[in-house]
Amino acid sequence: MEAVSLFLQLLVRGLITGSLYALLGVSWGIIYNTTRTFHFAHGFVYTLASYLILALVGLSLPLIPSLLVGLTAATMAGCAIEYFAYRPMREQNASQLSVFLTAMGIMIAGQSLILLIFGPDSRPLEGFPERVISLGPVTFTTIDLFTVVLAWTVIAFLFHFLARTKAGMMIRAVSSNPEKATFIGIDSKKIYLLVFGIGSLLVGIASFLATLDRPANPNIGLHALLISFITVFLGGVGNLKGAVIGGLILGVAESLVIMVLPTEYKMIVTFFILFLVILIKPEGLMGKKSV
Amino acid sequence: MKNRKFICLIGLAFMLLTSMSYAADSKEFKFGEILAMTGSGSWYGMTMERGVNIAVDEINKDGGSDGYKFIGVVEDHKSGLTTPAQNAFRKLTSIDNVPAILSSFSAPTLSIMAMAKQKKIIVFNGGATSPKLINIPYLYNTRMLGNEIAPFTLKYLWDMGYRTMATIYANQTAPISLNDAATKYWKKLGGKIVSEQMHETGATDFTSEASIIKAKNPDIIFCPSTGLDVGYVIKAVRKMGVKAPICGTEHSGDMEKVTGDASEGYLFASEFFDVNSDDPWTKRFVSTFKKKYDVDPDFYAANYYELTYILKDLVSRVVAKGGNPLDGSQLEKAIWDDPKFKSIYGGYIKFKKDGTCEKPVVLFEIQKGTPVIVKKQER
Repeated sequence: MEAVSLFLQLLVRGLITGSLYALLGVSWGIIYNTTRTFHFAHGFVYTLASYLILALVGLSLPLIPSLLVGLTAATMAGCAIEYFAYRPMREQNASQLSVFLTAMGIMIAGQSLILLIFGPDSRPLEGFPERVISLGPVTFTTIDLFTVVLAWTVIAFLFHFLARTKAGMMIRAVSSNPEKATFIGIDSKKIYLLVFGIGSLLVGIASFLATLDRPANPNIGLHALLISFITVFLGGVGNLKGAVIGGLILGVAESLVIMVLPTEYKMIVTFFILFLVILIKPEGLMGKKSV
Repeated sequence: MKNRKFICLIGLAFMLLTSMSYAADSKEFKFGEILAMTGSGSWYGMTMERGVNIAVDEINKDGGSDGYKFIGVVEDHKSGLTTPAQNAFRKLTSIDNVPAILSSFSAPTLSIMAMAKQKKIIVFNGGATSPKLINIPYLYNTRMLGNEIAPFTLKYLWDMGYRTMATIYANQTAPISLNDAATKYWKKLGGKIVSEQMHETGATDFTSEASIIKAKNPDIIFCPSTGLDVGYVIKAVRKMGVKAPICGTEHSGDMEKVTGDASEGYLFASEFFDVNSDDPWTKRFVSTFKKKYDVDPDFYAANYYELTYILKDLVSRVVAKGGNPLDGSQLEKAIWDDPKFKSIYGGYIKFKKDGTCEKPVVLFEIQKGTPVIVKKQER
């Protein structure tokens, strides 16, 4: 009975965490799938969103306006990185490694700047009513519930946008074949800017949800980035639904594994799953084999 | 022309003489502080440094120790990391040439002790609690170690009728050894350990661990982690609806920022530094600290203030014997001239041969966000 209760509790925990991971996955996946840019600075955008919201709430601005300003700033930061850093490099035919190193530089510099301005202390985000909800053996909070609802609403909206709008279809076209998309008159530069904006907005939402649950510190971006790209490679590059599935699998696996392994091995399990998938199905769980 | 040369010569000679006399008067005693200035335990570093700064200001205002001006050089071990601590040690001993270091946290302190022994640098710890800090050459502890404070807390809970315990502890030297000591002690009392979970230091998400604790339904939870880790554990456990008492060995002043009301009832044992003491020296320290920082000093600040004065006494003892206080081995020998030193807790502390000392220990409970004494240790 104890084992069943624990399993149910951990499963629900895994689904809550997995929802956040799925959102992180699509936020990075939409950028990578479309532009093939290893956007390491995504972690910085994540941290920036969290700290801006915290700073504005700290200045007595209500939570919702602070959130809106934070998300706008995150979106603009993502677009600025694409416009001022990645695009000029692409135009000069810079290697993938150069782009990666530039992205890493932005991430490290940005993180250091946040540390310099806000200090190393953890900062909790207050203002959201948090209550414990118990359903039989399963316990969660109003923040957990809000996280799941908002994450899936945003993911559903994203897929609807990609499937049903003209801009979404253009993104899919550039994502599947950038050259052909250019032939039919799609401006890939604008699409790149658009996906950086969308991805940064989504990571800003994920950052807000995570900060509601636990305080932010200047290093939070690195873990978020790790989860983002592991989720994408696990699910399959080029398939955004794969990132969602990858996020859920990762969240549930990380949670359930502590039934048999000490909790400090959670991250090892994450990499072990990724390693297994790459070994058995290198294209990812839902990726297509390249011919 | 001749006159001009002569005046220049006089001027140069004057400058040389004044700089020489300044050098002769400005003897410096530099000592190192390897503290947690950043990371999840940065609060500890802040309060410890404050304690040292007040002592340094007072000592220098009184003309230093036998003419030696005290200068503390602060380095950061980033809340318990050994590599930054070792780098700090190398910098302090090879660039700043310090003969003495005030350290904190168990893992960083232990990581520098082999080098300290080799270079004959005396190290004082006023914050770390691992029982592994006992009997190490050149290391002296003015903090009560976990082998004393953990059983004191657990016995209190045992006497209240609790019998099963879950533990959750960080993957660091002190929490691991404290967990080991606590589980052995609990079993010795006749209690049962229902789960033991080690967590990553500096982690913030403990929901999975809290799920296990909830499923195991223990009478009490023991968390000997440090810094904000304890706060995150408490928050996660309470969020799971677990109401069992939580106890530990640490309480950082910024913990309630993380836990909010969830820390209510948290129990921890530590030295008892009485801010309302009638001792004139304690009164002066408390009033200066409060005036400068607008808060009462805690026992961490008191320990590092006290340690700085112990260094002052050691410098005086070495100078009185005609020795060199910039030599760590001479400072170490001076301890054993008389191992008793005036204590900011009132009376004296006396070092034992194993490098430990005794201080009054009390059990605190968080009530309305403030530590309140619930039991005093009888000696």
